[in-house]
Amino acid sequence: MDKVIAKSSIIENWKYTNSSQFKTFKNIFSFKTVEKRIIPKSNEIIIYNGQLINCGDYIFRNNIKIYNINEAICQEINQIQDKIDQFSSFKNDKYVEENLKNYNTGYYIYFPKNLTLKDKIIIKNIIEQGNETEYINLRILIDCDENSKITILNEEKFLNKKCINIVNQCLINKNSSLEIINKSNKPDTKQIYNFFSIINYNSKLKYHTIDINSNLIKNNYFINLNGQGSTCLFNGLNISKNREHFDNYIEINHNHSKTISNLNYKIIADHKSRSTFFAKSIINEECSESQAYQKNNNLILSDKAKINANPQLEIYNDDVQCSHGSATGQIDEEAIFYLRSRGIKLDLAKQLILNSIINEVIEEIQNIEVQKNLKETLDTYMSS
Amino acid sequence: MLKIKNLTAGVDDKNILNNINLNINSGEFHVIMGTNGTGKSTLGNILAGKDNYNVHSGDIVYKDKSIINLSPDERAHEGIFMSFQYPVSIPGVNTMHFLRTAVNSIRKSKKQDEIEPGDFIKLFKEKLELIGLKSEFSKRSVNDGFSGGEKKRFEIIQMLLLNPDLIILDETDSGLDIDAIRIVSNGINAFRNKNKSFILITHYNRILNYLKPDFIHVMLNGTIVKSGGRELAVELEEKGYEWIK
Ligand SMILES: Nc1ncnc2c1ncn2[C@@H]1O[C@H](COP(=O)(O)OP(=O)(O)OP(=O)(O)O)[C@@H](O)[C@H]1O
Ligand SMILES: [Mg+2]
Repeated sequence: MDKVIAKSSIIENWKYTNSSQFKTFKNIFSFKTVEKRIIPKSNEIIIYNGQLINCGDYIFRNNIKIYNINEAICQEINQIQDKIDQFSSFKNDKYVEENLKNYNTGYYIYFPKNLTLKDKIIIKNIIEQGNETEYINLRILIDCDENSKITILNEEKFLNKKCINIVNQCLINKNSSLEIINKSNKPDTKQIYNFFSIINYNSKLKYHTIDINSNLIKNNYFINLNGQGSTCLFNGLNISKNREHFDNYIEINHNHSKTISNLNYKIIADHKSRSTFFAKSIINEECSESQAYQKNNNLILSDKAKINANPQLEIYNDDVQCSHGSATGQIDEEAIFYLRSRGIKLDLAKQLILNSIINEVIEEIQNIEVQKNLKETLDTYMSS
Repeated sequence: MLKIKNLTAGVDDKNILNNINLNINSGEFHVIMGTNGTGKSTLGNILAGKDNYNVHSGDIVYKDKSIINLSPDERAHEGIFMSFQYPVSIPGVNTMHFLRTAVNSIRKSKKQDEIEPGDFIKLFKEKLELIGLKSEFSKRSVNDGFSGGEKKRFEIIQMLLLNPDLIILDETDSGLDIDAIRIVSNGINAFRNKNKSFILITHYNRILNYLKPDFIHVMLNGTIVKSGGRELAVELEEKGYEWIK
């Protein structure tokens, strides 16, 4: 019986994307080994064509450990198998199953107890090899031990046409706080991305994701608030242009009392692009005094662009606070006229309004340096 | 400065304004009064060049050139400014950034260099203070969460910074408290000179005591039915519009 439910819900999160578009995800690409030296900055972890090639000094000094997942399991490091088993409560689709079978490409990153990092950690994932007909599996398991406070900037750089199947898992132990910022540059990539997170007692996940400039993207995010007082802030921006197709499914499960989730998502769709925001915040029975909020604002810039917005709240406890709202519209003509009547040209007026939407998302990120960098990237992207 | 000639205009194909004629010379202060829905704001929007507000016949000549084919931004570059009856809020667009962009756009159209950011901040704060808004307004989003009166004050601050020549004030006094009417009027009066012309749209005599306009026009059903001096406003306040009809 359980199996049937799980299966139907898998189909549901794929309801806005025809999986036949991923028909090339059959044969796994095998990397050719090439010697490559990239000197990392002190706070960088560099993964190049699926292989960890270097880490900076700051990583070593803070005792952050990185293992090949396969080796970590063999050597029974940090009871990793128990930790991996915790993720078996999530329902996996065939792409996740495929990925998890392929341990060779994955890394396990361990942040020790009581570690408070002033500087962010950058995971630089660069892929140069690969092609349109074979796909690449990538996997990272992040483990924040008790009492840690960490910021990770995930920088993906996938050059040329690629098919990528990513599984990222993230375990946040008691009293910890993890902020993740996803920044990617992957023109022409077809990607399936699955993110799973388990958040324990009194811990917090802040997750920011900015998706631009790809071909076809299916993102699935599953977040479990498992411990009392655990919280999650999910902050996303999706800008699609040309014929791009971006589909985002976000599921937040409240599995304990006093849990809080806050989901903000914005889409800007131009030309003939398609973008989807499909979210479920589920507050289960035993979760009194919990809060779940969803906010979704979308902007359509062309008649031919399409946005699907489907925010859902499923609530099985009455002692909770919830709200959700979703609005999709065009650029406010009254606002454009107002700006133009002050001498601002049409293009600049539009850009001011788009930037205002973008900035709202970016300003949620704590790190000012990252904010600045993202604003510049998006400024260039929007005016291109 | 402005010659409105036999102007028939409206929204899309619909006529709202009928055969309006109005001459405004440099330095003059004109007032338009009239019943609700009679076309006063429409005239403002037509002068400012809003989309879908079309001139069906007649012409608008400003500084000796027809402007009916100019975009709203081009009109602003030529020195036309409208203080909106209902200023829109634009969440996420910072007031200071917006106004600096506006000032620089106008300077650019005159082939002038951009204003130094530091100089602009100083100027902006000076005008905020003059019109009675706290300097925190420089950190807020345009009109977002502003009270009715704050919006009207912010329109006047924009006028002062953009330094236009033809100013349309659409019910700037509505929503202002009694002190604010005085403060805003003083701001406007200090800004007046022989090269600037004003069209004020209002329903009330109060602000006219401060602004001392040269002409009063009454607009009914999209046309100007009567013009006169200050005394006309007083008469309207006493008798209403019935007697003119
Ligand atoms: N964009 C529009 N679409 C349709 N009708 C419009 C539009 N703008 C104005 N009108 C109509 O034109 C008429 C004149 O409106 P306008 O706003 O110019 O009146 P007004 O004289 O400024 O009135 P008030 O004193 O209430 O501000 C009204 O009947 C109004 O409904
Ligand atoms: Mg009006």
